Formats: sequence, C-alpha cells, structure tokens
Amino acid sequence: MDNPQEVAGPPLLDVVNVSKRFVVRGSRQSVTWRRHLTAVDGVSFSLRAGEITALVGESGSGKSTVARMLSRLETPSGGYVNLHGERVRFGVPGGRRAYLRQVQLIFQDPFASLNPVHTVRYHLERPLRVHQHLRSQQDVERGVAALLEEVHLTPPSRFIDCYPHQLSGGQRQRVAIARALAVGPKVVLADEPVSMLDVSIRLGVLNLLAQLVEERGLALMYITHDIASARYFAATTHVMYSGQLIESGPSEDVTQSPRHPYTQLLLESSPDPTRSRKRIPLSALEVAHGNIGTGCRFQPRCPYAMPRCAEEASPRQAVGGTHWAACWLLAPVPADGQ
Amino acid sequence: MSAISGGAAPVPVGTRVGSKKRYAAARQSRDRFVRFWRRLTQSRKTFAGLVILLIFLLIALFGPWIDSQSPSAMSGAVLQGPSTAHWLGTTQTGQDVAAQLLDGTRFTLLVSFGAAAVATVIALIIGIGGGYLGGIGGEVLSMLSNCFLVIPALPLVIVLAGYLPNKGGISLILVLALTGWAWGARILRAQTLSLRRRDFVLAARVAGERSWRILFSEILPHVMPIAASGFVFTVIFAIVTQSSLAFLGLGDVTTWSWGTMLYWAQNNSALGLGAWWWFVPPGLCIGLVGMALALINFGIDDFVNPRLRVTDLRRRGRRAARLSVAEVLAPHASDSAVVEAVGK
Repeated sequence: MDNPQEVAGPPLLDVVNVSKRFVVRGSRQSVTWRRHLTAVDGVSFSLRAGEITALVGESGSGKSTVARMLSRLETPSGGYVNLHGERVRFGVPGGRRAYLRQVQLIFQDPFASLNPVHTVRYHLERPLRVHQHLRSQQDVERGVAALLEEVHLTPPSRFIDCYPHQLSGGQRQRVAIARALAVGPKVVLADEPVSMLDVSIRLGVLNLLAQLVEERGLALMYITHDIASARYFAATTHVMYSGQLIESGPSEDVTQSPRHPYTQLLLESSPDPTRSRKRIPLSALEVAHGNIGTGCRFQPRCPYAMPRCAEEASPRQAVGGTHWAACWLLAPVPADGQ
Repeated sequence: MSAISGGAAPVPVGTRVGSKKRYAAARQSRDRFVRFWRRLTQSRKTFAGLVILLIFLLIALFGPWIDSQSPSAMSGAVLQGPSTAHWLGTTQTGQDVAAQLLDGTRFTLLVSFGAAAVATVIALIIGIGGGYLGGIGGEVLSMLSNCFLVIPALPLVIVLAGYLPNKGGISLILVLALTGWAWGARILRAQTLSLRRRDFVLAARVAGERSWRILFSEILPHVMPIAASGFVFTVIFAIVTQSSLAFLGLGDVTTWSWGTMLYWAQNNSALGLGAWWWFVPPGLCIGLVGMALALINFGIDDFVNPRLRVTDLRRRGRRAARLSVAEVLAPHASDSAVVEAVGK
C-alpha cells in the first residue's frame, strides 16, 4: 500500500500550535486566585483533501476541544489555523462565516444536535439559504432532496417533513451529516460521529463518511476513542493524551507498531480476539490528575517512567517515515545515557 | 409506552407522517393541533379553567348587549336585592350592580391581559436576551431583573399610580407590566442558560446562523410553554393588583372595574348594610378568573414537566396504572434539568 502522505497534496487545513486554557469553574469571580485548566496544549497537525485523519484519545484528552476550536465554538488561547495555506483571520467582518463555509462540524450526539421543534427540511434548508444563497423555494427544495440522497436517506420525500423524533439514531446522524454538507465545506470535523449509535449501524455511517470523502474530496478529521476504528477508517492517526499529541503517523504503523507507552496501553485495552492478552500494570490504568509541570504528562501512569520524564517532556522522536512519538524511550542512545 | 417516554416535546403517539408528501404538511399541522387540544383538555382541571375563562371573555366582549342598562345611571330603586328588574340588585344610589359587573369585566380583563402581554414581552427580551448573551450585558440584565424582584410590587404600584397624571387603562397597563415582568424574566433566563449550551444551538452556530435567528428560531420555541405559564400568572397578578389599587381609591374611580365596584361598596359600607349582592359578585369574579387561570396553568405545567402527567396515565387505563412510579419517572431523568431550571 502506498504511503498516503506521499501521494496527498498540500495540506488543506493546517493547525499550528493551538492551545486552549479554560478558567476553572468557581474561580472565575476571583481576581487574585484564578485557576486554569489547559485542555489543549500546543497541538499541531494538518488535514489533506480526500484524506481521513483520526484523532484518538481517551475522554478528557482534549480531542473534542480541538474540534470545537476548529469549528469556532471555542476561541483558541494560542496558536493559529491556516486554510489553503493562508492564515485565517476571524477578526474581519464575515470572517467567521466565510471560514465556516469551508469547515464544518458533525456533532457526537444526533439526539441532541437536531432541534426537536424543526423538521428535516428546516435543518437542511437553513445552511443552503445562508451559505449557498439559494433563494427560490424550488432551488432549496431540490438542494434538500439532493442532500438527503447523498446521505442515502431515500426517497427524500419520506424524510423531508419528518421531525427528529420520528427518525432513528442512524437516520438522525445522516441528517446531521447532510446539514454539515449543505454548506459545501472542504473540511469536515466529525466528533465521535458513531459513538452514540447502535453498534449495528456504525459501519454504515462510517462507510458513508468514507464515500463522501472520496466523492467530494473532503478532508475529514475523525475524532474517536476507538483506536481500532481509526485503523480501519483513517489514513493517518494522531494519538492525543492530556491535551497533547503524543504519537502520530500512518494508521497502520501507529496501530500495528505503537511506540509510545500510552498508545500501547490504548491498543491493549481495545478488544481483539486474535491477540493474546498481556497484563496491563494496574498503575497505568489510574488516571492522574493535577499539575504535571514541565515533565511528560503520561509519566505518573507510565510503566517505563524514568527520572528524566518527570523533569522534561520528550520532543517528537521520529521512528521512520512520518511516524513519530514523544517519548524518551525512543531518543537516540547518547542522549539517553546522560 | 412511546408516548410516555416522549419527553418534553408535545408530541406523538406513533403517528407516521410524511409518507404522502402533498398532504403531509397540512395533515401534520392539523394533527399537531388535535394533539395539542387533546393534551390541553384531557385534564378536567384544565378544561374547567378554559370554560370559565371563555365565559368571562364572552362577557367582556358582549357584556353591554347582555344588560343594556347603564352602569352609572342612578334610579329611585335604592339598595334592593336581586330581582328580575335588577339581576344583582342595586347600589345605594340605585345603580344596577349587574350592569356594573358586566361593564367592569371588560375593563378588568383588558387591563390585566394587556399588562400581562407587555410584561411577558419584557420578560422574554430581558430573560432570553440576558441568558443567551452572557458576559457583562447578561449580568447587567440579570441584576436589573433581580432589583425589580426585590422591590415590593404593591407599594411601588401605589406610588407610581398615585403620581400618574393620567389614570386610564394604558397607564395602568404600563404600571402593572413594569412591576410584573421580573419574575418571568428570571425563570426564562435560567431556562435559556441551559438551552444555549445544547448541541442543537451550537450546531446552528456552526451552520452560520446569526444570534437573533438562533434566539427566535432555536431557543424561543423551547421556552414558549414557560412564557405562557408566566403570562397566565402575570394575568392573575395584574387582576389582583389592579383591584387592590382601585379598592384603595388610587385608580380612576369613574371607570367601572371589579376593583372600583368594591371601592364604592366599601365606601358606602355595603357590608354593614347587609347588601351582599353589591360586594360578593365582583369578589367572586376575581376569585373565579384567578382560579380559571390557575387551572389552565396546571395544563401548561403538564407540557413543561412530563413528571406531572398523571392524568395521562389515568386515562390510559389499567395497563398504565400497573406501572410502578419508578418506571414512569425513569425515562424523564434528563428532564430534571428543566425542572430545576424552572425551580430557580
């Protein structure tokens, strides 16, 4: 199989060193003693047209915050975003809308992301009117029908006047996908798009997304906690832990020969009947809280932790091709001996 | 069971809509209305409230045609009990009590519904606007409604009404609206605060909708039951406050309302004279309208809070009655947020 990194074109969306610090609830009123929580800390990656990129991490790792920042529901505390190689400016009038015309978000929970008081038609025609500037009722009608067909809700007439409660979870998520597509985006961020769906229909929705990526040439970011589906679905996989990327590379490499202890732990904990089960050290299962300081964030849980890990975090260590991991274990030998 | 687990949205018992496209929209709106009407009237309390209110509205509309006597016209028949000539007797100056009551109904209801409408609009703007905006603007609006909440309403009304140069209906409506909106604004703000972080609101933002569109199209439909309930309560507040004002002689004593009738009855010591037909009817009317509105509010409560939909179960017969309380309540665990928000 070709390495997709080599055949793909220039990045469509470049995320550079993006961070998000939240003020901890309850300390907002305090002038002198505000506590902050760094949800995302200096994350950089890029999305390419026609390619699926997975962002994998446990809950609380900041992966959803990344999606929210990229869809402008949250304002990043640091870093910036390049779209088509140009730095995006949100300050200018209409900048936000213009950006959202290119970048769209699919929410995790289709039971919450559709307004129960509106029909499918309303949900789909609003972005058509706002972004595609369709005016006549006929054009809008045709656009809505085409979108429904594109997400395989056929015949469209059966679904167009339905309210969300009349649809199943899978159908709702397809409507949510259609709404994201209605804008005509180049980049789609899918925040755990199948985790709220029944297992039996997950594959159908994932295949639909893959098909849309191929047909429309979308750049898709697939956010998930299920590293096994990332292997099946995505060309590139980024692993996130505690707000930072800790390993990244072609999905096949990351999932078959994980180099970071955390990625190894993540793969160990996902069920696989063909693999003999290794015992995971108990200490590694406990989620560490509190301030890690400058050291590696995984160090309190890491079975291979060294004194050095507590002092400074490892930079990206290349392990072949585009595959890298941030762990001192992979550092060149001379540096290790110090 | 699907109807019970239907959640807060006033919807369906397995209706399949949308198969026949052409009539779907029309049938759907009709279906919704039928369902709405059924839900509204299946509780006897709500139905009774609606009937009583309807009677009073008809009286307000057609009152002068029912009894053509002038409410202010004096006659020689002084302080007479109810008779065929004077259905509800006469006052000390020989005025017809029934005519006064019919005439007063119009003014009383007009002022109280008008005041409630204005107050609800203010509450919607300040409550939803403040809740959605957040930040300093939201805090200021919240503080404003808190200030109005702690001001004792009746003394303020008395002061305002006492200094108003014009004591007609419009100024009364404005005074009552000014003192009656804060309570509703507070509740609407709490509900909006919970709604603005919901995924469907965020999704509308990602879809590029503007703030006012999100407020009107995404949030407003979800707070309408609460606004309706607030409206009903404000009507009760306005009737009682307006009657208190008139009773104290602070209103326009020449305009007939239930309050002014009580004012004149009190001034002429109707109680001491034993002229019960003079003060009982207006008092009863105030009580009846208040009760009718309270009963209607039970019905609105059912919309907002499915936990209270007990009448629903009773109607559905034994099968539903066998369900344990826990089974009935469990599907609505997610609605507790709404209940708490309302509770605030």
